[in-house]
Amino acid sequence: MTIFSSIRTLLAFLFRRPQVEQEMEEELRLHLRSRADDLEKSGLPRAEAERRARIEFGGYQRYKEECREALGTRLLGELIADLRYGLRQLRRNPGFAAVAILTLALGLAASTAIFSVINGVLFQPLEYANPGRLVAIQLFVPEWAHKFPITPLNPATYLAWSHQAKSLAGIAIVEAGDTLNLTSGGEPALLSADAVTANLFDVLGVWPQLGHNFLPDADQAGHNHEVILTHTLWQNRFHGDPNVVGHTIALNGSPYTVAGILPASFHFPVANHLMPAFGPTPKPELFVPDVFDKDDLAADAGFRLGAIARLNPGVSLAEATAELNVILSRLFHSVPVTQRPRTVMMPLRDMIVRSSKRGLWILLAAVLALVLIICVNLANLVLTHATARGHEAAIRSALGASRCRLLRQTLAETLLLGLAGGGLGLVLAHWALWGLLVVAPSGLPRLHNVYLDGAVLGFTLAISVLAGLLAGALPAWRMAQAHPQDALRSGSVRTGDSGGRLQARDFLVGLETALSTMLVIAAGLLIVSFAKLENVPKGFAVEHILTVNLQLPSAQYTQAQQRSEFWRRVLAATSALPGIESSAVTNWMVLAGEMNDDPVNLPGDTRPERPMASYRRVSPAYFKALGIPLLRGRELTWADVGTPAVVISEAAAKTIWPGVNPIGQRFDVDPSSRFPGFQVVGVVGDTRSVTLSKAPTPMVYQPYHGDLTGSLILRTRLRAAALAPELRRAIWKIDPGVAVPRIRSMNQIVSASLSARRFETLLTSLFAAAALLLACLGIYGVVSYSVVRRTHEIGIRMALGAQKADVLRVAVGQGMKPALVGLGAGIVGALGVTRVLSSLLYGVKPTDPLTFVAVALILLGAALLACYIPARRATKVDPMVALRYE
Amino acid sequence: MDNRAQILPGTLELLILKAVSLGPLHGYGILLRIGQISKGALTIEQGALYPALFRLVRKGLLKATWGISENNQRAKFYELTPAGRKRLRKEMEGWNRLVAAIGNVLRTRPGEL
Repeated sequence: MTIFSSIRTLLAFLFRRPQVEQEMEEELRLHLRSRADDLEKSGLPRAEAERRARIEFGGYQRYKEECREALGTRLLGELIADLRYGLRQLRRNPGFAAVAILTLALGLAASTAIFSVINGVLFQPLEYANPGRLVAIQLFVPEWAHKFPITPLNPATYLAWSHQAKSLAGIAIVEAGDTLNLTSGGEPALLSADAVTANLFDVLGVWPQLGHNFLPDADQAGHNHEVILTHTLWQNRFHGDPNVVGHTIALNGSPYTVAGILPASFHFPVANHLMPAFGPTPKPELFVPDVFDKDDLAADAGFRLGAIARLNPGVSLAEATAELNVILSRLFHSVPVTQRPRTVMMPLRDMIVRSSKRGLWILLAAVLALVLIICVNLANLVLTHATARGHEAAIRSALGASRCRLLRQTLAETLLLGLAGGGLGLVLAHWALWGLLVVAPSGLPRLHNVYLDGAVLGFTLAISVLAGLLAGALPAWRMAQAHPQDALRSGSVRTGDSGGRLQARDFLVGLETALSTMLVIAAGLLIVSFAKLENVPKGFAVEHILTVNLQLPSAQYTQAQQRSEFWRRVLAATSALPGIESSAVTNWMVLAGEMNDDPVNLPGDTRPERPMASYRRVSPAYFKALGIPLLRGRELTWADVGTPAVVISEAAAKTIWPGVNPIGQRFDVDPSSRFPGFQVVGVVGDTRSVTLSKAPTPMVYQPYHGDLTGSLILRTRLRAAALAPELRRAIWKIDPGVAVPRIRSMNQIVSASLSARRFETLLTSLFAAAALLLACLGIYGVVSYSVVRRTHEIGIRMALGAQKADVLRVAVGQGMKPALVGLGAGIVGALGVTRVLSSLLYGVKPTDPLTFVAVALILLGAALLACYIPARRATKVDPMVALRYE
Repeated sequence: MDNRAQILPGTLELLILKAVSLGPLHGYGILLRIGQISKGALTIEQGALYPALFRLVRKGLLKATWGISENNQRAKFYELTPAGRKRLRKEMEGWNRLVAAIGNVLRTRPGEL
């Protein structure tokens, strides 16, 4: 047989099915008629002739069926019939169908939404030219590895690579997280900017929508007066005016020419998605050329750069890494081999999603576990109905229906449920996704890529089919086991279930309980972590603190003296505002990442790993404003500016001078002493000002002086909205060219730093709660079903003197047995699985006994309740009524 | 004893191909033709003819077209395709070889070996 003829018959069958059937019928009828005619001619009466013709023909229906089989259409016909049968069954039980479809739809909507996030964030290619060849490059520096497994690179490394590397088609530098004062056109605005090498957009393969890319020498000193705007900034600040291209705008008081406007589809990763050591930064609104200072060109200076490179065609990641390592070892030839920096290179997309990957996969696992529970629950429901239908199955099996056919029919029914659930789920997913994006943490990269596309539809379809088959597998198998004798036997006597069916239901309830236990334990661990983190002693005040970031226009404030003057005036003016208790400034806001870490070098210290500390500059009122206690010595004063005086945190005192009075001790950042040394004048309390989830970092506080950027910290009971106009007026009185951006409360800063965890915890808890509810429904179902089936037996028992307590115990035991087994299995399973959570946990071990016990108790309580409600009904059985039940 | 022989399994298709090779026929006609050329010696259960016909069409050995029968009724006529003709030749050779071989075996007398 040729493929074409098969396809032709199949198509003919699909589209002309009635016609094929009709022709077959016509052909066979003609045969019977012709035969009868011949027989009649030989002398038989017509009726007898027709009878003989039929006998000679043999089993009419059987041959017709064989013909269909010969046509290859029987299977399809049966499949359609099975689906119709399934549909009829569902229509007969609309309540069951509605519950099944709705629960499935909710589960599938949740998984569709989460998968579309995974698809958009992790799977979709980056929206740059030939994105597969784009890589992100960072360094592994053995000396800092205990603190930063991945370190930004520095100008010296970049220059060496860009001049020598043959495996790279281009390498561009991103110095992220800069802020610039835009003073042209309207009130001054503080913009977030990335300083980049002139080739960045060439490496990415992105062209401005208007204007041109940076010219090749745009990042050379003296030529760096071009700027490229993002589409958003162009729309918001310049109202989409195309004439802005070629015009000059004032940034930090210097003139910049707008070279180009990037297309609206252009998205660029924020600093911490290129450089994991960075803290969260806002999205860049514009790009300026990066010019390296001469001081920065030393091999061991300026580790603060991100790099994006394009590999040459045919060069693998490993080959490129090897080449860059060779160049590094030349550059760092004076450093012992084991201490030399090494290249960390990965596809750009991997670097961008690096920190969000695990959380997303865990969410998908959690939601799929929920879908699995829904399937099990559904299987349980179908099984209940299958009991009623077992009789029918047995009769049909006695009449010659094959097991395979019975199996298929049950599967067809759940498959329909799965598909209907999936369809409704897709509709709901639209809203689920919307909700998900609303609560999604701002730090999650590439959210602009998230939508319901073909891949997502495919996923939902696959999961729906799988869910349908899974839900039907066990009931179908049980259905196919139906023995004809059973039908004939059980027709008259209501003895309840055969043992097997109950075992199957117990198994399903156990499975459901086990899965929910695991999910609830996972959620429990995340909730405990989150609560611990939220309540961790932070060491700094969170309530009644407002902050605002300021940036001085560098062109006007060229002298340190001028800048110092500005900050002192701002501090004086703000602390004089009504409602302000104290006002301070720092160059590095709390919870803004770890980028100001440097080594602490003691005279005569020969340890290979020098202690690291986070250095930041603070004005005298800083400790008072943030409520950080002074433990020893004294705080900083304005008189300390320009002297070696520093204040250190307790953790610094303990790690750097264990057992020694730190006051008066001297140290340095670097043995080569390019900077003047420091002398400790005081010790203050520890703060978790780098990240909440890590133990307090050793801190070194230097006196604040002429910085260009600063974060004002205001202690006040005023609300941000009430303070904003006053604050603006006060600052603009000192300099109307300084932008006063949005005021943020410390509460917002703390909350934002926990947003990813909040997201994961919230969703997992939601899934776990749904799972718990479903498991309880399953247990409830088993008990109430068995109570109904055993009404007769209970009646007899009670008539024979059984107490209500006995009946209750038996009925509750019925449900608790599988629930307890499931609970045990779930706990064992969780012990094995929760390890994958460890990177998301804080302050609890993945096997935290307290959480496990608490979850076990919750599940036990819920299971008992789910058993008790239907079991109580058993005790209300009236023996007389029960005995008359038959 | 009945002197009509039940046909061997698998030979029905060969008989159909042979019957049709003499000219296009409808189902009942094939039955009559087989009865006629075997002089009534071969019987088949009539209904079994049709699944076999459908299978042959599906294998591309027969072609089916709707036409008008001798008593003016719409009927489906079967005829050989080139592939069917080739198959018939091959089957006939195979059959003759088989019959000859089995005949030889059956004619063997004691002492001949």
